[in-house]
Amino acid sequence: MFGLPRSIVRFRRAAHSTALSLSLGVLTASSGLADGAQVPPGLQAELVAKLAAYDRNFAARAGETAHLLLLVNPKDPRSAASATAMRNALRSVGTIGGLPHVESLVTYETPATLANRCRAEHAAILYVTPGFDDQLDALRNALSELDLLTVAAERDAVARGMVLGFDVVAGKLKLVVNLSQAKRQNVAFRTEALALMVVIR
Amino acid sequence: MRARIAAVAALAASFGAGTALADGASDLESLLSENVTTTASTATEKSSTAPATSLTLSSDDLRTYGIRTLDEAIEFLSLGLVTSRSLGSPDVGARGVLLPNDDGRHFLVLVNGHALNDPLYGVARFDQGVGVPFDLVDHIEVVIGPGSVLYGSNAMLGVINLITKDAADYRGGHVAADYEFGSSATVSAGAGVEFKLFGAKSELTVGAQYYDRFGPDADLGTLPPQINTLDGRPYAFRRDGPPTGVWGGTLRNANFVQAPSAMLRFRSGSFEVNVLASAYRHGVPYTTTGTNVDFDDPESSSLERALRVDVRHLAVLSPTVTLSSRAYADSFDSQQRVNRIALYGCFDNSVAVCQYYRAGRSEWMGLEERLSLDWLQDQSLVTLLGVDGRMRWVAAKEDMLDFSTEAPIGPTRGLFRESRPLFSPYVQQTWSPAPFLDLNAGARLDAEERFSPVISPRGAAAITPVRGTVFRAIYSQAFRAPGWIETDGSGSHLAPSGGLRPERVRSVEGSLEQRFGAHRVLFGVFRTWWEDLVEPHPLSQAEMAALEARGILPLTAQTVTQFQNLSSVDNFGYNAALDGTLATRRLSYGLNVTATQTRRHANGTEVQLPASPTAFGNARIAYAFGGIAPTLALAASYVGKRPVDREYIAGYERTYAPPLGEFRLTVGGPVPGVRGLAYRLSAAYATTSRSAYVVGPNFPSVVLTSPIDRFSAFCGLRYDFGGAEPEGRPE
Repeated sequence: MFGLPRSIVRFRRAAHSTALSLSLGVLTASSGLADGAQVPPGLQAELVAKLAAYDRNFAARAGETAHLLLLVNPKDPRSAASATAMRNALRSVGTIGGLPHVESLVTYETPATLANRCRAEHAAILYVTPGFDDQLDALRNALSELDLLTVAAERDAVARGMVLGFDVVAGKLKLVVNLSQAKRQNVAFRTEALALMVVIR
Repeated sequence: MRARIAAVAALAASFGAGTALADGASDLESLLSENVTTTASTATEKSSTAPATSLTLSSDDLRTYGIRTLDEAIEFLSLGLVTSRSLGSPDVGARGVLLPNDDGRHFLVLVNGHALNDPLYGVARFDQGVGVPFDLVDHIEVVIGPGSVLYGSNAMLGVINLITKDAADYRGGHVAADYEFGSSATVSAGAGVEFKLFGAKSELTVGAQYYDRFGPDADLGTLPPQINTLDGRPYAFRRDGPPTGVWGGTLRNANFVQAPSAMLRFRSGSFEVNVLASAYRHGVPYTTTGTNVDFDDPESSSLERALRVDVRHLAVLSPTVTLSSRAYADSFDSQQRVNRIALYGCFDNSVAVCQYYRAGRSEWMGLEERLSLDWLQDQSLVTLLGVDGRMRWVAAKEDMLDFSTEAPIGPTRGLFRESRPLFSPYVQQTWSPAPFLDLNAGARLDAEERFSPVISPRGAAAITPVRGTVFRAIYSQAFRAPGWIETDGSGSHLAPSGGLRPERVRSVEGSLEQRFGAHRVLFGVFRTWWEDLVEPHPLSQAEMAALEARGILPLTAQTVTQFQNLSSVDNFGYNAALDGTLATRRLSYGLNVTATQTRRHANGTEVQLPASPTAFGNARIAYAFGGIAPTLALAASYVGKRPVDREYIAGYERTYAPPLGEFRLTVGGPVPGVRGLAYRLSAAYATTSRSAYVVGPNFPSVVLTSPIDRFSAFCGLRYDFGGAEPEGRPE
């Protein structure tokens, strides 16, 4: 019986395995198609910078320098990409709520360690990147008693306990605020800002 | 009287209060008034710094201003684009270049990024024939100017991308119906739902629409009696009427359209599936430059059908690398049946009435891979590498049939079947070296066997020296591969082209955009050069004799045209826009103006481009009272004097269509006491009843043009149900 040389057979097997692995890797890789269009990081950063000034308690919470933490899910490459892009965008913003600011990336471990980190660093704003769908309830519970403005890159996170989020509807930017969560976390937006937001109670 | 004064005072108070609030948060309003677009570079970005002049027409505006089709949205809301209507499918032009009877060949129309133009005819529709339930449309992104750099053929005037709603914005069920008095009715239904599938966030939106136009009756006027020089008897233009020699009268039967469409969009995790199905049947009520048909014949019609599937996957492989994959398949077919008294239509005495039957079918499927490399992981330096491989199958033919029996009265003509691949790699580099500078450069190569490969480059720079001010400069090229019907088509009145080159356009433009709080001013200038435009050229007797001698044309050929690279166009001009909101976004307004100088060059002559106005624009204003009170909206459009579409046919010189102004007043809001039920009432008025399209056989001394309905009005109801927020309650 004639057959192909063993080296070719091996090469074929290896090629098939590689192609299969790559395909599976690509197909199971993280993605955000179901999340719809996201607000560009530059615009998010500008909005955060402006909105902080409309939070009556921001200056007291931040002190002399506003500390911003950007939460990264190490298991989701979208999260790291979003955090890096947002950090760089925030760095190019002059002041946030009129204050100088510093940004740090925080790798997510548990809700409790995150809450402790926020307390320890006197964080004024926590930016929650995409990729935390399964942790949002735990995050809400852990952060509810903190004096902290939580900002989410996605609108869905606001309904699930983040204070503020961004959305694109019909090509227009929308701000979404969870008012009851804002109250719990000592965030008080002025009326003129609330008038421009989609409010969830 | 007191009640009236109180109401006025309350309105003034609410307006004043709103203004005060807006002043208080004008910096926020300014940011929130930025449009976000994805079509210009395939990345989400601000319209103001995108590498092309980009517009976003939102579904809110469509509803507010009583807009029900794409061409109406363009007419009343867009900058730089102009529409031109006859009783047939409308034409759309950009920046002073409107090609009459174009059937959308020079615009690339997309639905969620999926191209609709077919390879056989290149057709895209702007009315209900576009094939998308309009209630599903979330917004329309328009890229004005050449856009082949990422999208390939047909994007010469621009790219129009209809983006449909997410399930989150279309949650629950929706039914709607519109009735336009004496003219048309539309019914639609749809639903959106979010759920988890195998642990992945998923959503499904579906919608269906049926549009039926049954009028109105339209008086076209009449041409003087015409005598057939061959037999000395008056012509007959209706198969059921006496041979009076008089063409024209009132259309009562053939002004109809039936257009069902349906769409499904499913997303789950990293996958998205779009499926569209549509049909578009319309009457052929009168003779035009391209069609010779009995007057007001209800049995003459055109039918287009399409089925489209698009499956895509997005994989974020690392913070640097994103891979987007897309597989797609389309099927499109077109049939036209036009009836004519056989002696005049088919030069045949054996039957009384002949039916000219033309059919074409195209199918295409392909795979597009797009790799995005975000080198610094902050979207400031991104390389996009893509390749689109496509296989296309086309077929076309024409027959002459006996109208009464549908039996052939001659051989099938112009039959061809072709299948050819198209391979298109492209690259785009975006770079923002500083917060005030955005650069974009790219090019696409389209290679197919009919032509030499075409390269479509683009370069753009946007400078934002201070917040709210953007200077932008853009150079771009685009092309249109002639449809197969143009390169390979032939028939009783069409000679084979014998080789065509792709049409090309080059464009340079510059603009300044300035924001003042929630208000925006834009001023831009542009210059474009068009080459090798493909047009039907009526063959002279000598040209026909030469083709007959070579056996390409039958010896019985009468009037014959041939597609040729016939003309070039160059134009320049400016456009300007002013828009914004007041009173905490309750009051919105907009004004768009374009003025151009456009010249068509052919055979050593230079003329103004037919049907293209040198000045056009629109204006709009709306006030939303909020609560159960209605929203009032007034929109207006203006199209200046322009030559009729047969201007360059002998004898029609210096025949102009009058300026056209259109006004539309719309009132809409919730029906009190019935949660989820909303109404819309709209009335429109046109200042003239004549378009720029000549109707009937060539008769240069008396020009009859297609009528425009001067008064129209419609009412509509919409019911939304079952759309409660799954968590939380939005206000």
